[in-house]
Amino acid sequence: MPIDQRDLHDLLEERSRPAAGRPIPWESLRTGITGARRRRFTAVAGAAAVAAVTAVAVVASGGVLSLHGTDEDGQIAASAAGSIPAQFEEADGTVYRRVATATLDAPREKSVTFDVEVHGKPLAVLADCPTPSGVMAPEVAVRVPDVFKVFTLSPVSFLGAGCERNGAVPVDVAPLPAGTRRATFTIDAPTGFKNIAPHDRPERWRFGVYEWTPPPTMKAASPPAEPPPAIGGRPHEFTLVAKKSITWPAAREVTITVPNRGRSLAFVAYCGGDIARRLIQEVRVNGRPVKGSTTCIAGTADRRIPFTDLGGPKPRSQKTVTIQVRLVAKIAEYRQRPGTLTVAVYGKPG
Amino acid sequence: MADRSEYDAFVAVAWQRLLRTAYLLSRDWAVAEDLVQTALIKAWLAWPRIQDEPEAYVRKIIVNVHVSWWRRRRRQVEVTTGSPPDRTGAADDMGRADERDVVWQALGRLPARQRAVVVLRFFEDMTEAQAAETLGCSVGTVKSQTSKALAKLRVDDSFASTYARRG
Repeated sequence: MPIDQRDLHDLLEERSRPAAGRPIPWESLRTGITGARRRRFTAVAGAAAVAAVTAVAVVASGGVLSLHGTDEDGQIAASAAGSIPAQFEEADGTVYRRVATATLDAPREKSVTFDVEVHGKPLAVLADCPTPSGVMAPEVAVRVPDVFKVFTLSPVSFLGAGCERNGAVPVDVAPLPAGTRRATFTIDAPTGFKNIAPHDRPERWRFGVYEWTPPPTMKAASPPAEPPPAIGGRPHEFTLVAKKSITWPAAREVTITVPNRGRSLAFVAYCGGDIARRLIQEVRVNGRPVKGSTTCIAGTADRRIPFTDLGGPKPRSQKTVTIQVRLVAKIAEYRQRPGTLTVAVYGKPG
Repeated sequence: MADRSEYDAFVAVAWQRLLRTAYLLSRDWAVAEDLVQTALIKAWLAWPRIQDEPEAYVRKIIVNVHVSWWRRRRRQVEVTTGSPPDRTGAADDMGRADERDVVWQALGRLPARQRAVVVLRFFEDMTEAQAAETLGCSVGTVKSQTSKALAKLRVDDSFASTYARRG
């Protein structure tokens, strides 16, 4: 017996209702639009190679806090800016060796496909983008012979992060099956955005595919940047309560427990070293997973840092609040690359 | 220069509505969030020009990006008959629940464009003209895609024919 159209409406209404319980991922949204902010900033300042950083609130529960960030200068760490070099080395000594190049001359070309020989090392894509925009970014799909699955970039599936920094940061390809000897890369230009401003329309991109190798002896991780003493708008709403750092890969998780004094809490989590923006971070508060952040963001002393608001005061029956942040590497070779993870907990003064 | 506070306020207000639409299109919460984020990022770039109707602009991007992604990845999709099996029996509550589940499964097997038409017409309650504008196609195409989709879903087009506004 068929259902009617009202039933269909009710069905769609019901099945999509869990959206109400999913927080807005402010952090990754901010990361995506940073390129647009930087373009304006660069035009005014006439300066090249600046990395704009935004202040962000990731709301785990409760209301939206101050979201108005200011652009500040930051230094691009990779040594490959603005080109597709045959080989380059990142600060932790990891060597990137180019194995293929390609050009996508959009809008004339919609996509480019090319084969890459694979030697069992992790792969990454470096883009030389026409504009420092992380928005109109191409998408990369990798296919392996006789494998049904299509592989993408990791941990974020599109090339936005690479284009944001104008090609300075290679973006990893998700691990390919063991024994893969050849992979076919397809890079698609973004399409279907007729209303986009002319300077944001697809243009000519150049790409390099690299295989990377960590140094035989891992360097010591640089000391982590100190978390800010206060966060959350101006005047600052939250002050530092507790902080802890670990050194990757010897340790992979930070756990901080603070007493519940009936005040609102927030926390920041960030990475140092070349693992930043490349490892996944999993967050739990009192044992329950918190959505909203997938990659461990880069944190430096001169940056404003995204924070997660834990909502209003916790019930008094809850004596403590425990925040756990765990780093996860999809690519095994990251266990040979040093870095740090810092977690800092903040409280709103009563 | 675009007003960031207005943009933030828009995101805060529209996020859940957009996420619901994206989920109904993609049927995967992670993909839905990716869709909405991708669209919101593009909206930021166009913000000075879209402030009159930002949600319509973002919804249009979500729908079209979804169709684009689906085309690209359809090789991964299991091949199915596309229609639920014919069913008989009394319309008791249990049977109704089963029927809704069958329709939900069938909805997941629709091609992206037909699924988009269903979501726009019967969830967003758009007219045929509005759906055509969102999808970037003709009203005739919306009509034909709607008819095909409803047939596959075994939704009776004669019921509540005025429920969804006609364009």
